[in-house]
Amino acid sequence: MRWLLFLAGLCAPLVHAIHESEVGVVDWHKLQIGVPLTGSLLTSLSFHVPRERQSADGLLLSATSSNVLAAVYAGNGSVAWRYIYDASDPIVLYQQHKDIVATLSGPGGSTLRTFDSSTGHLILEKRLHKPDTARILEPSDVGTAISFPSDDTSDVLALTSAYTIRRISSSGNVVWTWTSPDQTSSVIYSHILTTPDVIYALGLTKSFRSYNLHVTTLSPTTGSILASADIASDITSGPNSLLPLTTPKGPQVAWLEGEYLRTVVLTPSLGGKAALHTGAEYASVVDVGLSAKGHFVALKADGTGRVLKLDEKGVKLVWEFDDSAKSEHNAPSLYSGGLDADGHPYVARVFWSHALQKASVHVYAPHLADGKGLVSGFTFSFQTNVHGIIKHAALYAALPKPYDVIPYLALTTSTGAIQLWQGERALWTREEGLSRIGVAEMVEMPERKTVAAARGAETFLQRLQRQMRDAKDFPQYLIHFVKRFATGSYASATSRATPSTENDSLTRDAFGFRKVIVTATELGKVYGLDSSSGEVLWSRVLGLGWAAQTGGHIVPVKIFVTRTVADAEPEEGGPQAVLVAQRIADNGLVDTVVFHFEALTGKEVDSSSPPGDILHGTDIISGPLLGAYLLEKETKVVVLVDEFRQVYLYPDTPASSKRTSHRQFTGHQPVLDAGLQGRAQLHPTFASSLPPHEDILALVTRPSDPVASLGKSQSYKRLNGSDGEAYVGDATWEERTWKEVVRLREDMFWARVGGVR
Amino acid sequence: MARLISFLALLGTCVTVFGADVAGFIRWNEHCTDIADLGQAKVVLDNGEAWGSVNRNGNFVIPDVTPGTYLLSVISHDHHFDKLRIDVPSNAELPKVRPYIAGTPMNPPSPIKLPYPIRISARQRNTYFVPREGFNVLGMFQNPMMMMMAAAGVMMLATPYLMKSMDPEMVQEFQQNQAKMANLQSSLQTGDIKSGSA
Repeated sequence: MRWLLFLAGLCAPLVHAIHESEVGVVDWHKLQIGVPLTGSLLTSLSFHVPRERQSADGLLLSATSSNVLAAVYAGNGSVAWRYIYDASDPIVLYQQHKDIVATLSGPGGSTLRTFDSSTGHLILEKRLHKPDTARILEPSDVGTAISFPSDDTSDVLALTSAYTIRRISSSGNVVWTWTSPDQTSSVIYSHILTTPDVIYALGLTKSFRSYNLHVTTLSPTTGSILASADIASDITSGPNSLLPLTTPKGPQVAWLEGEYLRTVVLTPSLGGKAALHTGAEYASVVDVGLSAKGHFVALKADGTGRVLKLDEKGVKLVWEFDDSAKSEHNAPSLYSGGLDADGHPYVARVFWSHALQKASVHVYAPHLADGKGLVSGFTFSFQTNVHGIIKHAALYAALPKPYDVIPYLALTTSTGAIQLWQGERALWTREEGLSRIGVAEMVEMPERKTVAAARGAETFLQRLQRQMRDAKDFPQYLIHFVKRFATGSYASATSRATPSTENDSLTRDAFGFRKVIVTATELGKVYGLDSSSGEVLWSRVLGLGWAAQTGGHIVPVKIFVTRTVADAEPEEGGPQAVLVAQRIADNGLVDTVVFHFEALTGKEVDSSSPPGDILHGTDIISGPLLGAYLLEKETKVVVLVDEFRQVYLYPDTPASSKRTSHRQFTGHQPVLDAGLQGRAQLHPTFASSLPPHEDILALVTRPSDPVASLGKSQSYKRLNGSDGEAYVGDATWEERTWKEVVRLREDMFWARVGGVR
Repeated sequence: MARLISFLALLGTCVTVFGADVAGFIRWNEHCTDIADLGQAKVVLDNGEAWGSVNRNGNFVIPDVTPGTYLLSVISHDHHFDKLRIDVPSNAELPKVRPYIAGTPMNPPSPIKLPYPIRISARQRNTYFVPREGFNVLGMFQNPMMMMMAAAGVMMLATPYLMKSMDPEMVQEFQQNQAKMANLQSSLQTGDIKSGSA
């Protein structure tokens, strides 16, 4: 084996590069951005429409789970730009303003960066504080905020570590810094509201029972403190329940106190009193990103969604979405806000209808119908069996004609896909789940069938038909033959191994380079990729089984190819693969599940589910998995070991259990600090199979001696029952002789190396 | 005791490590014309101990660098930059910049001092592809095997001329030796070693 490696090493320099003309011909790469984060409004997908351009040039911005800030063209879904953050510098939030995108990253928002939104070029990078001096808060976006002053400068206001606000000029100079004088007290600032005259810093301070709203006003030019006051309030949830809103009356803050909404008008002297609105009871308030327009959504206890607006007269109910209460017919609704090209606000409710098996969107436009508001509804055929469930929706509305609202919805799904819908029409899909690949395996494709073989008895007419069918490829064959005969051009190893005709798909090329890459992602989806082009041949969502009721996720562990092209008889079908995965339900239960499917098409092997449906797994172990191996005999059997070291087989047939009656000896190597919390992790390093009639009864470690470089740290002997150190089988003279010869050889070896036996 | 502990705690707050910012800029040249050409690039000290990103004007700032001697390098996908030795002093002086040639010892430092803020420009564009090689006669003869073959050929052609210019006695001796060798060879082939050795 070592020699093989050595030889491979010798060969390596000869093939160290490809020629420039071959780039993109035999190789490919797909630009991914990662799965958009959906946890917060400040990191999730949002539309960015440059002011002077049309909506077709719009961008979709997002921070992603791969710690990337990226922009995707809304027109075609291609990547406009992406900026990869260092692993030690996680993105906390991003904000867009005019033509710049500003981000805070690192612990407590230690680094501020601004980007040109159209090109993605870094304008400014500024370290605001040392990462190790940050006040760590959970979740990480608490105590951080970005705002932009209401003047003509392109300065940025940044709140970091919950108590410092800085004004940073576009060249990176800090204009002023204001630090909360009572850092040791319990005021945690979380929001900044800007007006031309004053900057409001909103925070929470701890009182005996709950939190109080604390507001500090600062001068935008000097950063000096103008006023600071506690506003009597009784806030029980965290800082994210505060809704700072800009209204015609001035800036206001809304929050939920018990079941009632409470608002306060902010003035530079902070003299305003909080008003309680007892008109309606609410369970929660949702910031839909329209705070600059004074709109937000409040949910009643039964789930009914209401669009509310803060204006001069206080809180105004502008719209209640019909049938938005929790029901068995619909999945819970997502609310999202968006703007059109003129800056008018829109609020969308997106939900999945179990009855229709379709997704619906209701878009409310408050400014239409002479200010009475207009709702347009669309039903779109979101494929939940392909893309999972909708986790987040971003809205942009177009108004080509009066009273004709066309919503653009950018969806982030649970399988990691980004989809753009224009009303009922899907524009494009990006499979970002492929940036989170868990396991992958290459599967060979079968050879192309040149002539269909006749099966069974065939009448004259049938045969004639078959031959006619086969003859349709003859002209092409002839052209190929003549071309090859005349020019001597054969298939080249440096040309793309893509199929030349339709019926060539899923067949191997002349050199066998073209394979199917079967890969499972961490987001519960399995894909078949064409290795010659990277295109997705098929994809299936992994079913959750019983955990679909409670929710959960599937972590792929290993993929085994259980039937290759060489194993399979033509009539048996193509190669098959088995994905071993752990299903972690939201209630904490872990199960080991096996998915068995055709590698070329993704069809389930026992075909209990229709092709478009999710892939159903088979529960093997009701608990976590310790290890999984493939036993390669006449048929391949997957062996799974649970935490009690019990062995499970898949497929579990009498034939397979008989075949697995022999033993395997596996060595594990501990890798320090590789596991969670610095625990050592074991990796299998070697395995050796024993013949069927042998058993491992004991392992004897090699005595420690001066000879250190023997390769293996352990030698092992197979002992036979009670009669001490003897090799298996004393039945025949052959075995006894063999045993003796081996013992002699070992003795000679120890004598030569000077070891003591 | 409590007083001592509180004094020590106070002392601890006073000892703050001085951290300087190391600033500089990338001068655009024919190898690297602008930020779009450069792409996302990082300027790192040592093995990424401290780093800063290059912005669209080519400027970079490495924040909070503790005093010491560092090797500054630019990590860029498509371009190769020189490496520099940066000495960050512990007082408020500006960092000192010196050239550094890869593979040479860090100390003693080069006597040449470069201006601060750091100016650095791309030396060359990284090429990841090998040019396609055509048929080359000269290249073929540069192969050692070919050179040995050519030398043997020249020797073969030159032997008759050498023989002519040699002393007749020497020629006779040489011919005898040759005959002996030929005899030995033929005897080896036939297997009759005795006659050959005679």
